[in-house]
Amino acid sequence: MKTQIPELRRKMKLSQEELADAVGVTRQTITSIETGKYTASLVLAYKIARYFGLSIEEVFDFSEQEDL
Amino acid sequence: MEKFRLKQMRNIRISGIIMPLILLLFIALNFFVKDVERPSEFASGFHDGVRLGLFLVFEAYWLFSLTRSIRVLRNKEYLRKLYIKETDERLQYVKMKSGANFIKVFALILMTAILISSFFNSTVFLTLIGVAYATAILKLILILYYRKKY
Repeated sequence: MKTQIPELRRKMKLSQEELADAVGVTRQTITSIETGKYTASLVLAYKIARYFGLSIEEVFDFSEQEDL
Repeated sequence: MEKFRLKQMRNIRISGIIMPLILLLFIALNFFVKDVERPSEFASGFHDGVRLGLFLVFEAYWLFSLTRSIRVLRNKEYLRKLYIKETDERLQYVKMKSGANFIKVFALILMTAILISSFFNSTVFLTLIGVAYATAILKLILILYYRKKY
């Protein structure tokens, strides 16, 4: 899943470590989400979006997810 | 985080009970159980070495757990770091996928069985050591694979 997290972090001059600390996960988890290796849970996606003051759809791109 | 703090306090109490119990069990088995016949001097040394090694591993595991819990309760920053590490959803997912929690319990039971069997039957003792090695290798491979994947 694509995310806007790297761009948003750059805009806010925020490191992965700082974001991870703010949303209560490890830095490696943020790295995995950014590289698309790991898909964040709804709760974590909400926490990240809320941290940036945006909605989940504005941070995460669901267009590539397969429809059932 | 309060639940995690309480878990650490419980862990301190459990460690305080288990450590002397393991020591007592080891002493009791050494003194009261008639040892198995050893075919050679090498086998005898191997037996004693594994037995003592396992005992030390058990004690070291609980001692580490005890000191970590004490440190967590004294240091708020460390408490937060450890809490994040223990509740991190990606790590939980990796653990679930690799069956790490099951293997942890299995390894604990297996090590106890090895320690006890070393006093009764050489064949069972050696077989269980083989199983322990295979389990350890399997766990390592699964953890490394899933950590790389996610």
